[in-house]
Amino acid sequence: MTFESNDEEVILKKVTPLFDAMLLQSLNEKGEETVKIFADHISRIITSASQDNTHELSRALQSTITPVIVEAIDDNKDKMIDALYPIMGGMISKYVSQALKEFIESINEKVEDGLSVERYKRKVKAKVSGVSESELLLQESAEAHVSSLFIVHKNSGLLISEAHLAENEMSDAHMVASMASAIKDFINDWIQQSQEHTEIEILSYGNSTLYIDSAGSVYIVAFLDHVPNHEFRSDINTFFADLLKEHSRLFQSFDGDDSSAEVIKLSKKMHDFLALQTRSQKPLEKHASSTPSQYIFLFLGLLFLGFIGYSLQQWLVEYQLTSQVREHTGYELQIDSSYDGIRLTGTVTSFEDAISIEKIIAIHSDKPIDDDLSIPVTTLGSIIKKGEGRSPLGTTQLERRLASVEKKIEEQVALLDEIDSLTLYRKKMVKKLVKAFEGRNDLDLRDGFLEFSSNAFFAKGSSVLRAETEEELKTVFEKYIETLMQDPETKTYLRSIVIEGHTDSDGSYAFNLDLSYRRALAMMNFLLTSDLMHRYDLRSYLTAVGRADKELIRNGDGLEDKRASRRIKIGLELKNSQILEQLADIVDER
Amino acid sequence: MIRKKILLIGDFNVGKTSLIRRYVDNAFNDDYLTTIGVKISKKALNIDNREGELLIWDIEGATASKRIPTSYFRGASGAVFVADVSRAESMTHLEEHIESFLSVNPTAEYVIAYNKSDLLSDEEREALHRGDDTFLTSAKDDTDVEILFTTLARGVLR
Repeated sequence: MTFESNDEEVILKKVTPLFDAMLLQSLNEKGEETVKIFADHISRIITSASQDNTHELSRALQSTITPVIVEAIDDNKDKMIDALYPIMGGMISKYVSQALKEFIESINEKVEDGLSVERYKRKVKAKVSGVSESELLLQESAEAHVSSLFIVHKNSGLLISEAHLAENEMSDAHMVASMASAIKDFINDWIQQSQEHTEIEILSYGNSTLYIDSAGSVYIVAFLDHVPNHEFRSDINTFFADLLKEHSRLFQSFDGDDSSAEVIKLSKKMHDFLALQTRSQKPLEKHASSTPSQYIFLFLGLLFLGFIGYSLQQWLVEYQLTSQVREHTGYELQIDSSYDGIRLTGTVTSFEDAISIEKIIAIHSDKPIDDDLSIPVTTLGSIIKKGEGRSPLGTTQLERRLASVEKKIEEQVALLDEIDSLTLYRKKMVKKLVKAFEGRNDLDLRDGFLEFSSNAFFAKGSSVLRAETEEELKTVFEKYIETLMQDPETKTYLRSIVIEGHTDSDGSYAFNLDLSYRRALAMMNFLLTSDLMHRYDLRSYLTAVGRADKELIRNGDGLEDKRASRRIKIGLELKNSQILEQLADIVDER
Repeated sequence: MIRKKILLIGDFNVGKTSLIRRYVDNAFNDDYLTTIGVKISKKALNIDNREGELLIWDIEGATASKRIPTSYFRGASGAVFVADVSRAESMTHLEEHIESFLSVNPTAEYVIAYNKSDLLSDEEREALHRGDDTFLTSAKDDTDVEILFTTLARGVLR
C-alpha cells in the first residue's frame, strides 16, 4: 500500500476502512472466537468508562437501553412487573415511612411534651438496671396512657373536639387534626390500591403512638406514650363506642361550629376520661396482688349493683314522664323506656293531643319516640267528617314523613320544570339561529354554536386575524348576538359567551393548545370592539378557550378531516350547572 | 368558632404555594406537599363581626407518576382554583379541576385566581374574562390575594 504523503491524517484515512473490512471478515468466518475476544475487552472498557465519565456513558447507553425496556414491557408486561416489584415495593414503603416519620416528628414539635424527658429517664434506667432499653419499652407498653384525644370529622378533617392532659396542651390542634386526616387518607388510599381492604389503626414512631378508630363519620384519635396492648385498646374502644352512641347525630351533621352545647359536653367527657385514667393508675397496681376469687366476687357484686341501679333509673324516668303527661294533658299512659327509644301506649281522643304528648316527652328525654297511641274509631269518624283528620293512621311520625316526601316531590317537579324550560329555550334558539342564517352553508349552527372554519381568518400557524376578514366576521357575529339577545329569555339563562379555538392534529399537543388559545383570544379581542357588546352589556360574559386537537372532525370513514377540524366556535353557555348541582343533591338523598 | 375546610387546586407551578405564603398565619412544612401531596395551613378571620377560621389544603397537581387521593376533596366547603396567566394549558385545565371538585362537593363555593398577573400587559389584563368570582392575582407583588380569599371566606362562613 502506498501513501501520497506521510501525514498522519492521510494514512489513517486510508488504513481505517481496511480495519473495518478485516473485522467484518473475522466476524463472518470465526464469529464465536472473535466475539469472545471482544467480550473480555468490552466489559473492561465499560468499567473504565463508567469510572472516568459516568454522565457521558449514561447518555450513550440511554438511547439504546430505553427502547429495549419499552419493547420488553410491550412484549411481556407481567414478567417486567415481577422483575421490578422488589424495587418498586421498596420505594413505596420508603415513601410511606417517610410520610409517617415527618408527621410524627412534627407532632412531637407541636406537643409541649414530657416525652423527651421520658426517653432520657428510660435511658438512665437502662444504664442503672442493666436491662436493655427495648425490654423496658416492652414493659411500658402495658402501662400506656392517653395524653390527648381528638375527634376528627372524617370528610373534612376538621377537629370536632379535643382533650389533653395539662402538660400536653397543643398550640395548633386543628392543623394537626387536618394533617392527621390527610395522612390517613393518603395511607388508606395506598392500602386500597394494594387491594388490602383494611384501615390503618396504629401509627407509631419513636416514643409516640397514635391509635386511630375509624367510626362512621369520625376518626377518634388517641395520642399515647406507648403502643397499647390488647386490653388497653379494648378499654379505649369501649369509651369510643360510648361517645359514638351518644353523639352520633352531632358527628354526622357537624358543620365546623365547635361552640355548641353538645360539643362542650363532649369535650368535658373526654377530659374526664383522661383525668380518670391518671387517677386509676395506682389502684390498678394494687389490684395486681388480688386473688382470682376476689375478682369474681367483686365482679358479681358490681354486676348486681349495676342491675339495681339501671332498674331504678329506668323506673324513675318512666315515673317522671308519666307524671308530666298526666299533669299537662290528663291522660294516663303506659310509658316504656327499657330499650333504645320510648314507647307510648294508650288511648287519646285527638291528633293534637298525641302531638302535645310527644312534645312533652321530647322536652324530658333525648331518646327517639315510638308512638303507639290509638284514637277510638268513633272519634276518628267524627274528625274525618269534620275534615280535620289527615290520616286514619294518625301518628305524627307518619305525618312528618308525608310532609317531607311532599316537599321533595315539589322540589323535584320544580327542577324538572326548570330543565324543561332550559331544553325548550335551547331548541327555540337553535331554530331562530338556523332561520336567521338561512342560505349560509359555510356556517354550522348545530347546538346553537356559531361554528366556522378558521382557515379564512388565520394564516397557517398564526394567531393574527387577517384584516380583510374582519368585516365579514363582524357582520356574522352581530347577527348572531342580535338574534339571541332579542329573545327576552336569553338574559335569564345566559352564563357566558364562549369562544373556542380548535386545531387539527398536526404538531405537538402543547403547540396546538397554545395556538388554539391565542386564536380564540385574538377573536375575542376583536369582538370586544363591537358596539353590540356595550349595548347588551356583554363584555364580562366573554371567555376564550383553547381546545387544541381534542375534538377533531372525522369523515364517514373515521379519518380526520383536517380542514374542517381547524375551526372557531362561538356559543352560549347556559346556566345549567346549578340545575346539575340540585340534581346531584336529589340523587345523593336517594 | 366556626371552621371550614377549603382547597387550593391547580396545575404544577401556577403559584399556589406562593399565594398561601402571602396569606396564612401558620402552616406545616412545605415538605409535606412533595411527600403526601397536600399541605395544611390556617387563617383566622373576622367576617362581618363573625370569628372564623379557614383550614386551607394546598393540593399538589397530579402527575402521571404521582396520584392524589380524591378523598382530599371530601368535606370541603370551598376551593380556590389557580391558573398561571402565562401558561395557556393551566387555564384550560381549570375547567377539569372545577368539574372534578364539584363532582365531590356539588354545593361548595369557589373562586378563581388568574395568578402571575404581574406578567400581563394592561391590554391583556383587560382581555381576560373576569366575573365576580375571578381575580387577577400576583403573589409576587401581593395583588388581590387578600380579596381572593376573603371573597371565598365570606361565601363559606355564611
